[in-house]
Amino acid sequence: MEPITQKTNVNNPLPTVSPKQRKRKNLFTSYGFVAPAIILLFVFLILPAILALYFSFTNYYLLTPEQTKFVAFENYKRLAEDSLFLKSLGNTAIFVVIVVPVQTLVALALALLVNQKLMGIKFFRMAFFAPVVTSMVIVSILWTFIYNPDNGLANSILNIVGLGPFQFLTDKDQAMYSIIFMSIWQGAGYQMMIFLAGLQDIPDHQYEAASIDGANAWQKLIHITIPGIRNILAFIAIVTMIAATKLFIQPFVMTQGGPLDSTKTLVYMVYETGFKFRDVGYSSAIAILFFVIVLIISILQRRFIKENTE
Amino acid sequence: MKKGILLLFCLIFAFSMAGCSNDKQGASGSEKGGEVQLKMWAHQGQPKEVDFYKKRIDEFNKEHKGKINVKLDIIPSGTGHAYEDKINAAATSNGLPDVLDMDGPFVGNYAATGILSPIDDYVEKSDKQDFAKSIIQQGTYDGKLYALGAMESSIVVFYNKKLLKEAGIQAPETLDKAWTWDQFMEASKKLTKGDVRGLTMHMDLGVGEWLTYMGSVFVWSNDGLLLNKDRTKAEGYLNGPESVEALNYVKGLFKSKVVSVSNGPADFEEGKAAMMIGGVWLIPGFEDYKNLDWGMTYFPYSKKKVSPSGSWAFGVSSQSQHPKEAAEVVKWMSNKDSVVEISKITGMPPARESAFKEIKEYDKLPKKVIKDQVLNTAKARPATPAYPVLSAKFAEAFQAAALGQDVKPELDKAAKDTDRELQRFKK
Repeated sequence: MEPITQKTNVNNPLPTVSPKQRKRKNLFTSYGFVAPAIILLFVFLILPAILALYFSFTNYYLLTPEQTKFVAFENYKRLAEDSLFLKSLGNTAIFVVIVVPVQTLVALALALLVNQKLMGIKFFRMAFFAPVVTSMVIVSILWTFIYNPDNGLANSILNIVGLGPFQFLTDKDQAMYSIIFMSIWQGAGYQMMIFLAGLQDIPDHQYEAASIDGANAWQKLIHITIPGIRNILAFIAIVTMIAATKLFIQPFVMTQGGPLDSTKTLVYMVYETGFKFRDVGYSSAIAILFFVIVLIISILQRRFIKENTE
Repeated sequence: MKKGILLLFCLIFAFSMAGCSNDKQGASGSEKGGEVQLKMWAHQGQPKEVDFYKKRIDEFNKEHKGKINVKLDIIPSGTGHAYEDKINAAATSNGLPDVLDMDGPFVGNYAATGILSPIDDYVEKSDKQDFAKSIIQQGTYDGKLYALGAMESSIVVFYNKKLLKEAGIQAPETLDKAWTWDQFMEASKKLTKGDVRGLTMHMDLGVGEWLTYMGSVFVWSNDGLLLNKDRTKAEGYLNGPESVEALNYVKGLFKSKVVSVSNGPADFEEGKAAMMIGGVWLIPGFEDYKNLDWGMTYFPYSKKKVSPSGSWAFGVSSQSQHPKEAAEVVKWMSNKDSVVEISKITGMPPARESAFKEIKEYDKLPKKVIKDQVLNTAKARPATPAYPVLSAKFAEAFQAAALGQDVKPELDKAAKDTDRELQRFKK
C-alpha cells in the first residue's frame, strides 16, 4: 500500500488549490473534527448544567413540569437551614480527606512492589488491577456480603486475629469507614497502573549512579523516584479528588445513605431529592452548590500543585 | 476513508436528532390496520408473577385480535426505587405506556400529578363492589378511581413449627386469640437460643417501602396515624405519642436481641430465625426449602387489630391516546379469572371477595390467617401526593429505632419533612 500512495502524491501534488482556499478547507475540516465532541458536550454536559442553574431558582416538581414557578432564592434559603445537607457535606468531606492521600499512597506502594523484575510479577499486576475493571455495583454487592456482621468474611478473618466482631455497614460510626476501605481497595489499582508507567520512565542509570555513590533504598526513593514522578503525583491527586467527591454508587447499593444518614453524600442527596422525592428545584440547588465547592477546591489544588511542581 | 467518516457523522447526527424529537407515536398508543396498539409496563416481581402477566396479556391479545394488541414490557424493580425512577423519567419525556403497573401507595402521588387518568367511567359499580375495600381505598384519590389490582397482599407472622414445639409455644390460630405485643415479645425471647434468633423482620431489604409497609402497622395498631384524617398534616400524628410508643416497642425488640438489623435474606427459611414478620409473597419460595415446616399466625396487636394492605395495581396513563382500550386491559387484568389465577400462582390473596369463595385453601389454616386479615383488619397506606417523602422518612425513622436511636427526634424530623411536602400540593 505505502509505495503506491507515495507515488500518487508525487504524480499529483496539491498546488491546484490556492493558499486561501486551503486555509478555509482546513478550517472546515478542523471544526468538522471537533464538532461531534462539542455537540455531545453541549447537549449532555453544558446544557444540563445551565438548566440545573435555572431549575435551582424554581419549584420544579418532576411530575408536574407545567406548574413550575420561579421562586428566586427559596431553595438556597432552605439549603442554608438543612441539617441533612451539612451532614452530607461532612460525609463527603470525610471520604475525600481520607481517600485521596491514602489511596494515592497505597497505589504508589503497590506500583513500587510490582515494578520489580521478578518471575510472575505480571500476575500480581493483573490481580491488583482486577477490581478496577469490575463493575462498581458488583463490587459493592460483593462487599455487602463480606461486611455482613453475622456471617460475613470480614468478621471471620478478624475473628482469627482476635478482633471484632464489627457491625460494619449497620453501624453509623463504622459504615463510612467500611465504604472508604472498600473504595480504596477497588480504586487503587487504577492509580497503580499510572504510577507504574511513570516509574518505568525513570532511567535506570540514575539508580545505578546512586548505587555507586552508596545511596540506600530509602534515599533512592526520596531523591530519585518521587521527583521523577512528581507530575504524575499531581495528576493523580487531582483526578482522585474529583472522583472521590462524586461518591454515589457505594452508598446507593450498600446502605441507601444510612444508617442514620451516616453515608449520605452530596451526590446521593441530589439523586434522592431529585428522583425519589421528585423535587428537582431543590435538587438542582444542591447540585449547583456542590459544583461551586468542587470548583473552588480544584482551583486551590491546581494553584498549590503548580507552585510545587515548577 | 474521508467519505466514510462523513457518513458516520451524518449517521450520528441523524440518530441524535431522532433522539431529540418528540416521538408521540412511540410514546403511546397507535393504530395499525384498525388494531389499537397499546404499551404496558409491569414491574419485575416474583418470577411466577411475571409469567402470569405475560400469559394473561397473551390471552388478552388472542381474545381481542383485530381490535386491541398489547405489548408488555417487564421492568426490573430491584430493591430500591428503580421502577418508580423509570416512571418519573418517562412521565417528563412523554414516554409513558398506556397501561402501567404501580405499587398501591403511589397511586395518590401519580393521580395528584396528573400521570394517571381516572377509570370510573369504564368500571361498572357492581363490579367495583366485588373488590376488597382496601383495594378500592388504595386506588382512589380525591373521590375518583384510578387503579385496580388483581392481588391483595398482607404481612403475617410465619413460624417454624419445629422450633416452636421445642420451646413449648402455641401460635394463635384464630383472630380473637392473636398475640398482643407483649405476648409476641415473650415468645420471641423464648425462641432466641444460641445461633437461632426468635425473629427476623427483613431489615436486609434496605430503607425502602418494606419498612413503611410493615412499620405503619405498629403505629396504627397502637391507635396512631401517619397523617391526620384528611391527610393534610403529619405534625402531631406521625410524631404523636402513639407513634413514638409504637416505634419504641420496635426498638425494644431489637434491644433485647430477639431480632437483628443484619439478618440474612433467608434466615427464616434456613432455620436461623424461629419466626418471621414477612409478606405473603414469600410463600411460594418456601418450596425450595424441604426441611422447613412452617405455619402462619396473625400480626401482633397493641390496642387495635390491624394488618397491612396494598399491592401492585394497574392504571391508565394520562398520556394514552386510547384510554378506553387501556381501561379494558386494566379490567382484564383485574377480572375474576385473573384474580383467581394470580392468587393460585403467586400465593397472594385475591383482590375480590368472590375469588376468596372460589379458592378453598383460604378456608383452613394456614391461609385462613390471610383471609381473616384481608377481609377484617386490612388498612391501606394513606393516599397522599406526599407519599414518596412520607414513606422514605418514616422508613428512616423505623431504621433509627431498630438501631437503638431516640425515636422522638427522628419522627419529628419525618413529620417536618412530610409537612413541607404536603404544603407543595395545597392549593
